[in-house]
Amino acid sequence: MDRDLLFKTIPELAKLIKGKKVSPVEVTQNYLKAIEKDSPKLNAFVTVTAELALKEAKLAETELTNGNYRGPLHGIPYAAKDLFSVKGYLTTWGSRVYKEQQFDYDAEVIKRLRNAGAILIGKTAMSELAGGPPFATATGACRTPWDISRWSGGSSCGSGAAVAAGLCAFSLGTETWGSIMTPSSYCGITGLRPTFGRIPRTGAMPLSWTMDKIGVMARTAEDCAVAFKVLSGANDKDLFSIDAPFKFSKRNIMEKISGLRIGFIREDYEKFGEVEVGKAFNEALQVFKTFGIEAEELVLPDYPYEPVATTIIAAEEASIFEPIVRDGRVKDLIDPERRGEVLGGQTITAVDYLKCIRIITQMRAGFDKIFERYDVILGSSTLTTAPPIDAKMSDVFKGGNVIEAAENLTGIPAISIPCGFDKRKLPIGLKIIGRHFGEKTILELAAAFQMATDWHKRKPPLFR
Amino acid sequence: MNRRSFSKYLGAVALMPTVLKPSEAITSIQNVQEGISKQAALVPDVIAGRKLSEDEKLWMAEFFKNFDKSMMDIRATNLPHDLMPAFVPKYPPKKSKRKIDSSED
Repeated sequence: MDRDLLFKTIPELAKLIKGKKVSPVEVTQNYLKAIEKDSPKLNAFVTVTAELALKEAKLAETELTNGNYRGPLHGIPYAAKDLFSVKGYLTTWGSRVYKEQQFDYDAEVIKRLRNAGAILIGKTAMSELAGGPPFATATGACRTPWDISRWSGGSSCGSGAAVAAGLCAFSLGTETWGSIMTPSSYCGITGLRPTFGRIPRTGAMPLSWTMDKIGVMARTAEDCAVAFKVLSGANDKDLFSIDAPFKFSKRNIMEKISGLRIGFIREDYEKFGEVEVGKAFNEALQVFKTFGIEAEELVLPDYPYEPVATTIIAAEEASIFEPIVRDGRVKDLIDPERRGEVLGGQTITAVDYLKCIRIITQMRAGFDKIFERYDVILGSSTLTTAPPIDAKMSDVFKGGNVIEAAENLTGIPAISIPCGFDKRKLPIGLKIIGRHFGEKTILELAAAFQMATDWHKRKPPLFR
Repeated sequence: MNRRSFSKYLGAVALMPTVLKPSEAITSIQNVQEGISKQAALVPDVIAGRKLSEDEKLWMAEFFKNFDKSMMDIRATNLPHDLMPAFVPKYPPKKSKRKIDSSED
């Protein structure tokens, strides 16, 4: 196994593949070996699509030999959270309730990546129905490669662990409320959660139609940009999906980011998180200062962000999972709190639900005002580093990071990038939040940060 | 995950008025809360056309214990009558001069 090859960025791999220094089949076989050896330590993969991957790799190789180069994802192996349907394979949604579930079609994102020549290497573990504590995963708690006694975060837990351990070049995750930011932070990788609607969700498990977003988890901001370019754009079946232009280039990046106006959220790390996370955040602010950008503290407009997010998710998931309430399978959900949520959500009134959706209109107006003053907002992706597998969630998520609910309700994009390590050598995440359709700006700023630092280049000692 | 811990945190905040001699405004919120709590005590016997087991009623009651406090905040929010629900972001953003790349353009 070539360990060095496992940790290449997408442009590095693409260059090697295009230049015929390495073949897609070699790259794929290398990742498959790594998955076989390392995934069981992490519970990162639910299904390894080896047969499909080798078939796609051979096709890519033939096309490349014939001079038919599809672009920077051609021949690049990736993994997808197990809530994306893939024809011919199980799609379990992280739950024993759906352990036999299969769809006879591919999710839109799977189709788009296939058309770009990317190779699906496997389906990654996820928190049951995209939410819940570490134990609420049908395939066992997923662990961060930085310390396998600790959680990789949820709900895109396997997608985060797989990238961090070098088991794929990039992965697909989803976020309704923190599910890309948290595992990206705990696993020390780069995770992009785009503007609501920019990547169509057709063929993905819904949790909340109002809040679900698909995103990319990878090694660098540039990796995320390459995959996002292929994934973004409307389709007919996701009625919320939107077309908007997107261009990204690292050329003259310092010039592009100069003059950006940055606001930041001051969290109470002592009360709600870990002081070391706050220290790393302050040091990150200093990096932006070296770019000539002085960040300014801002205060969020006062809205009931978390109650609104809680209500919308509970109501929408109650509608989505109503069939398992009707036939009694709700009892088979792993987490008793989740069973209560899916059952209790059935009683939320239309009046309360619509009030929440109307409050979002006010929240968006509030954020429009913030973005008149600032181009981006900085915050910590999580207020702690990865917690132990058996930690009580009430001890981990004690409060703070209210902006996370606000971001997900208003549908603005964000990227999580590594910005340091704590004393236990666990990664710390920095979050760059943009205005609607502001992916280009947050990716450029993240790329500039990654040009000035090397946190994203560190590899977990167990998997080097 | 976050929403659960938040609900517990919110629970502590919701109890504050009882300790801190509430003002009239807060008293009215308390009334809303009491009303909802009564509702929470009435976990239905039947949901989605199926009679619930005792375990299911317990899980639901546990959910309501935290969720009712979220509801209190939402029901206490006054909205202008003409405020419409938000479903999708507007495009293009206010200051953008870029052209919309869509079939409608």
